[in-house]
Amino acid sequence: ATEAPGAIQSLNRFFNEVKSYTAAFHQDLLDETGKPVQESTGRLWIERPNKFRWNYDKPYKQQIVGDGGKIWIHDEELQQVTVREMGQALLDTPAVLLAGKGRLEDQFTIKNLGTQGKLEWVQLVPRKKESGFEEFRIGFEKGKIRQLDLVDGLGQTTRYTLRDGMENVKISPARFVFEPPPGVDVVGEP
Amino acid sequence: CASLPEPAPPGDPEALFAARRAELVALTVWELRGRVALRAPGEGWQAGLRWLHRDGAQALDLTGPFGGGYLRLTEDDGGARLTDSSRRVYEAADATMLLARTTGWQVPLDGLDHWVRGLPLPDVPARRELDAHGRLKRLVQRGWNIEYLAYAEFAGHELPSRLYISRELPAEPAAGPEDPRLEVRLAIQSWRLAARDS
Repeated sequence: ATEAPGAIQSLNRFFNEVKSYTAAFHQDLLDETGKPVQESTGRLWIERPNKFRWNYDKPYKQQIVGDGGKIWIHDEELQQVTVREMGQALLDTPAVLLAGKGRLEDQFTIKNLGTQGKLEWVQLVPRKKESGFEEFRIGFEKGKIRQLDLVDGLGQTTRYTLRDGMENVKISPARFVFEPPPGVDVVGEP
Repeated sequence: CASLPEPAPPGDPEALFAARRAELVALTVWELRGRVALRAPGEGWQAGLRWLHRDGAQALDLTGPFGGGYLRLTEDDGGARLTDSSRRVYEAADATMLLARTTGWQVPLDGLDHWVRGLPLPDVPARRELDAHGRLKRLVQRGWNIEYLAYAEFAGHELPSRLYISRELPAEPAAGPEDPRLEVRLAIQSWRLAARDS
């Protein structure tokens, strides 16, 4: 069988050749001992630069939308929409990482972690420490992005496993616009 | 045909509430995981919430939308310490003062650690309303208004799963920087309780 492309090669392909992407995700929150303590599922869409939508469906409904300039967070149960500028501090969040443009090396030190199980892994360590993340690890299967582990400053890991990923698909622009539902207050952050 | 009569509540709410209170007060080790939304005039935050409470110590984590650590607030008999996502550390005598000083949110954690379990603070005057099952429906205590919007069962205990907490306002709230309005909305997904550090 052809040799699976190395993780760095897959990373660069994802950032330079994949302009839009959508997939179903399963998110697991692992506590500092690695025990899964919470899980949720949903779907994500991204389009470079800095446009994304993460719709969480279960066990709660939440939408996180990047429209290129602002990030909107809507939690249906809490009936609140929080909006903030997609400022510098946010550049290190995974959503902006996946939908970002430009040279990753400017923001991260990148290291090939080699093969573990069926996946080829790469590690990205944010150069700036404000993001609250220690490191990102991305796992590729046959060159396609498959798993994302985000280790935060509290020792917790947020793990996304991706399914039915589709690259360079036509995504309706409305997907990256957030319309606050009637009656829900929108609150800005300083 | 006439609808079925609502099943008679299983007993007098006050008695049920007293029994519930005795049971919960004994469980001094608990951990909740959920989400919190804070709103003050012109400002608002949403975060993931994990709150661990043990005998004489507590740890409260607020995390960003993708799990990025926002801040960790810990308190024990030695005082309170807050670490933010840039690893800066702040300290104060107690957690409520420290949270207020570093974030500006005047959230009374020493009241909240009872209200969130569906319990009023002991020996503090309160106005309360019970539902038919002897659970708190609404509580007014220490200038705060707590509404219990939903309960759920967690390992044999019925505990609040959605709360709306707002500061009781004076007749006409002063607009501007002293505007005291603050609302906290909590959605709790999981509870774990134990009698003591088991």
